[in-house]
Amino acid sequence: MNLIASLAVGLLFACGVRMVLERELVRVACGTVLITNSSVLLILAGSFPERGEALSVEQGWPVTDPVLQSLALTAIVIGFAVSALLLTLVHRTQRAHGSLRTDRLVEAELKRVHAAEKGEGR
Amino acid sequence: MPILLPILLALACAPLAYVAGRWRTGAAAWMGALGSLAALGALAWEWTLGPGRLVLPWAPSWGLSLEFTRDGLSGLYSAMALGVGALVVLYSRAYMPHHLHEEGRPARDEVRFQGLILAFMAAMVLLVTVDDLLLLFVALDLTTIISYLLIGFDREDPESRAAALLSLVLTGATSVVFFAGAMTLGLHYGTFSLPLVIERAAHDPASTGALVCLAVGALGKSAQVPFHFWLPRAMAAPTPVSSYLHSAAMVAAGVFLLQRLYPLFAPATGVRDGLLAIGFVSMGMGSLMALVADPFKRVLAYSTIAQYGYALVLVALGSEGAPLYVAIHAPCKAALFLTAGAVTQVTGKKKLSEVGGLRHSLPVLAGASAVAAAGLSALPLTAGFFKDEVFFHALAQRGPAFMAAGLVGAGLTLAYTLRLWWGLFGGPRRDVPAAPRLLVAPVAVLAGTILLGGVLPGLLVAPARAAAAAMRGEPSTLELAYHLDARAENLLAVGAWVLGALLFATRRAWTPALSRVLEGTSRFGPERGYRLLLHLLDRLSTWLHEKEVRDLRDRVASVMVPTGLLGLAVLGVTPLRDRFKVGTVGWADVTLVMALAFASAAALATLRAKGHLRLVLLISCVGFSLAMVFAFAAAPDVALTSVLVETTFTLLFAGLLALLPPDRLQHAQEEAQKPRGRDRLAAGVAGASAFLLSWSALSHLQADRVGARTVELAKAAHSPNVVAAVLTDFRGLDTVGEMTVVVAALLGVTSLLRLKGRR
Repeated sequence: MNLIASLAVGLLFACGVRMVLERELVRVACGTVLITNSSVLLILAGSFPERGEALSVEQGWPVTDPVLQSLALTAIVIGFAVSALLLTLVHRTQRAHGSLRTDRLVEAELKRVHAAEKGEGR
Repeated sequence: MPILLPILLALACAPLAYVAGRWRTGAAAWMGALGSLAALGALAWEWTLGPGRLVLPWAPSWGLSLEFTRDGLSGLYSAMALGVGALVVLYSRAYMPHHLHEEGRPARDEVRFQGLILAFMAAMVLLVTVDDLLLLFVALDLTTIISYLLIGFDREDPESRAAALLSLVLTGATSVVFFAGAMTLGLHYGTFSLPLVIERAAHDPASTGALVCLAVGALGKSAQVPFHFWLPRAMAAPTPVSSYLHSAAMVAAGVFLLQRLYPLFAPATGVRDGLLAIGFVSMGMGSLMALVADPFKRVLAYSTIAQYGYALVLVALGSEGAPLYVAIHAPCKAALFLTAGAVTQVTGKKKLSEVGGLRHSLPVLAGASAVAAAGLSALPLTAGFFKDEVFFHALAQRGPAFMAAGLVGAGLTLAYTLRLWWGLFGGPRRDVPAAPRLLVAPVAVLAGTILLGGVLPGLLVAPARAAAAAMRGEPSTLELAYHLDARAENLLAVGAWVLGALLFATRRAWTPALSRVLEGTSRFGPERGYRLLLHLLDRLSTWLHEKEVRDLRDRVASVMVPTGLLGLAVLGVTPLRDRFKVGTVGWADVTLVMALAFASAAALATLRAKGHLRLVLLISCVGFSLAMVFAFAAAPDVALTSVLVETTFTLLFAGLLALLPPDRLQHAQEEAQKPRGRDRLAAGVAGASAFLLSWSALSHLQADRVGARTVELAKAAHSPNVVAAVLTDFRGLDTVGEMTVVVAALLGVTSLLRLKGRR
């Protein structure tokens, strides 16, 4: 079970990194969502070996570690808030620069830097 | 506790002066001077109590404590820093308004300047009083930082800024080397407390590497070859700074360090021989440059390099006179610097070739600076005589070659001091307006001190002996008196005077040739190396920046890949036997495995998703599958929240897609379908590292869990839902933080969406 859970964590993480490295901002945002998901899974995977039953709870049966559950909850909520902010930023960037591609944004940034340097040189 | 009194008073000076300056600009200097005199008084009172130590626990579990000492060395240097500091602050009261007016800056900046000078004084007093390797480094860096601010005080002037940066880089870099040495010693001896280190080093001498590191830090501070070139450049600072930092305080710190750490250096003859050679080279180089330099502050700067060369020679020889030498040099050099500043203010000139004949208009200044010059060149009836006496005494014990070198050095000193004084005050009469009294009075006070020490040398004996004893760790038998006989010291002194007078008399014959030679050699000096290094570093950083900015993906990858490699490296150095456990998969786990497989498949599919809507659906598919995993793992709260969050998120995402123009999305989509090979590699490295690290972590879970105890405790919290109890009670502060993040993000989202227009 350890192996399977960590394989899933690694896979989600790898997919996330792969998407973050892409050239388009929407997919970059998706990548961060995947990375968040992988970390939540890792936190909760700590409780897999001694977990309770999914549906029926009776007195004296094992329960899934509540500390890990609350940590995972916190992580999910924060991840959501940050992803929402990121998506809105993507939207804003598109409005401001008229592009969703990071290379275009970089070109614009370099142009601005060079213009500023020229202004300074004068 | 009395040990801390002078430090606390010195620390209070800068804020007090600042407050006084807010009330009335002119009051800051008087307040500061009063404070430093009070600190000096406290020091004198404490002197009567005898030596002492104070140890305050800092982080006892790490064996760290704040240690202070009051011995001869710290007393002598504190008195020097406080006394000269008070005079320099008063002097700046008269000097700065004129200077600020010339720079076109508001008059209230004077308060800032005096505050910095006083802060520097406090840092210096701290440096000489601490008795701990780490605190030594901290105080050393404090002086470096404040000196940067002081040298670059004329911030509009590029030359001044460059000089400040040079001194920061050079003294900062060398003090990092010092830190390396201090760490090596501290780790080797298991303590940073200086007396303990010295005690343990008595049986087990310190390693040469550590000593060399310590020495490099000291040499950088004291502007010795090959780190000397920052000092002449630092003359761009206002004159009070040069007078204080570059005579009595900052450059003295380096030699002070060597004296404080002398017991460590005593057995290492190799290192001491190296220091000896550096001292002689600095002496010769500084003296020769001082003979030809034209701006008079530069003459004094080169002279400082040479004089600290003398002090370095004395330390390297282990002479008892080393602390005394520095203490006598300080007032002489400070007085000459202050004279230079006064002359510049009165005449507006900065070069020897442009002034002269001022002795008629500025008689008091000429007289006082003549005393200071006589002190610097060790003429009798001034305290300076004794600094050369101890110097010659130390050399005479080593043999004729050393004596000859000392004789030439002292002769050169007399020659350049005569040249400086004569250049300022001698020659055909020139009339200038009188200097303000406050500009002249500090010079006169310093000159009075120098004369007093020369007439009554008995006064110098006690502090000099105490300092020598603190340096060498054994009682000192230093004697200071005039002897009218033909002993080696006297013969050498007379020889030096004759040589100096001859050199001065014949100066027209050799000055042009010497300046040409020195100009030629200075082209290949370490300063050139420094410039080249700076230029190359600048180029490298520009290149890296361009490289990094060129593509955002490389920037992300440059974080992800090293992190992944670091994770793998951690696994590489840990023992791998029994590190990874596959774990068991029972029938009960099948549902879990299926949900995990579903999530993984959806994640993989996102990579190939065409069209953004499909991408959104696949992402939410990953989220929902994970919610399923959480549900099967019997974490209903997590699962419910997850479902809720995923639903909201999917709706939000879909709404965003509606806001984005479809043709842009189309374009972006087409571009994104061309992945690069190195992106795959980066993702592979990061994923593999995450996989192995989490596998290793999951294989070694603690047997007894906090969770079990939490379940018990939840009953006391009157909450049947343990997770709710943890969230709202046991980890309530976490939840508050979480809420803050959510609210901040929400505010960000709404304000970003509300913005109209392109920007």
